[in-house]
Amino acid sequence: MGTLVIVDDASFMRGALRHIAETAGHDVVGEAGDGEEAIALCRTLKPDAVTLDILMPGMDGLDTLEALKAEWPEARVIMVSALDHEEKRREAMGLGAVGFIRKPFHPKDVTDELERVIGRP
Amino acid sequence: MDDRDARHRTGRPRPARPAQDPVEAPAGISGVQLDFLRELMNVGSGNAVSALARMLRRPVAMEMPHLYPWPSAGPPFLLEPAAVPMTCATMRMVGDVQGALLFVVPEADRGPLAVLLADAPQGPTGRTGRAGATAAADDTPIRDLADITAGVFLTAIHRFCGVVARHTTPDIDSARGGMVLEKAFAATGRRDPPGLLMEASFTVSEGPVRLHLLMVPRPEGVDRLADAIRAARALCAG
Repeated sequence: MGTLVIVDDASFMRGALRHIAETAGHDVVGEAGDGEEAIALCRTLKPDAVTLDILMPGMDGLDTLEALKAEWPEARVIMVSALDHEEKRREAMGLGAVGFIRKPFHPKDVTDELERVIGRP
Repeated sequence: MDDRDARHRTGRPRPARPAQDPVEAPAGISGVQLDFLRELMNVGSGNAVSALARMLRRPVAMEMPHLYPWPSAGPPFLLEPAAVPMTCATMRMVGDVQGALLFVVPEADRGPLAVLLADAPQGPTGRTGRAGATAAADDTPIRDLADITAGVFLTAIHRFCGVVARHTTPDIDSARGGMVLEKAFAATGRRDPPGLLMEASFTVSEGPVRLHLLMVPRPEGVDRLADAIRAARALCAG
């Protein structure tokens, strides 16, 4: 079973991702609504993977990814965003993201990506 | 120059964004509904910005969408006293959610946008490419951009929450400031104010060019979206 921290400013979206991940057998150990909270949570919990929204108020997902990787280079981060153009993917991957889920997503999009990044539960 | 500066320079235009919506919640809309509606706008406009970037062949950034309790508040770029003229593509929304969609281009951005469109040999849709000076005076490219942006936006919303809405052919006009909102109001076909205005703003890195997409659902459309929220929450609860 993989542990997961979910980062999204929309509680609705965090709930959806939590439901999908837990139904698939993963252990959601934390949720954060912004970048600063996400970094603090990951510092403590060291999850197997982090799902990270890109468009968030204040510190956005790419800034959060950059800060998180600077502090914890082994972090496995899956970006989740409605911004799906190739340039945005490349930028995220260049900063160290290991996956990308496009919104709106089907549950299988999420479970496939989680399985690819942290393995089958 | 550090990495962050380089990142901004090479394709991530980042307009200033407030930490949260600058206005209070529209009356009758709960915090949960607001949360959902913001995400709905995020998904719709996020897909739209990707389509814009493909059409314009340039990076396009978007701001956090804003929700306003219109008419008591609205987008500052439209309501400030010195609001500039805008080219406005007005589309009615029909289907599960009725109301209006507006694709708005400030007049100052229209020329640079025409140059960008002319730079695409076949134009954004393969039928609108033409010399910049001609394109600047021609509504067709803006009509095409509005049509495609609205279509992608509404399709993404459908995939997100199941709500089916379509848009009518864009009607191009020029207006200044608050008159843009009056057009949206008229397009909803209601005498009483709709009560909710949702705004997504885009910045094309080259130019830069600012574009805005406004969604003004009729009150029953907001109710339909609320139904979708309930269904989605039931899904989350398993």
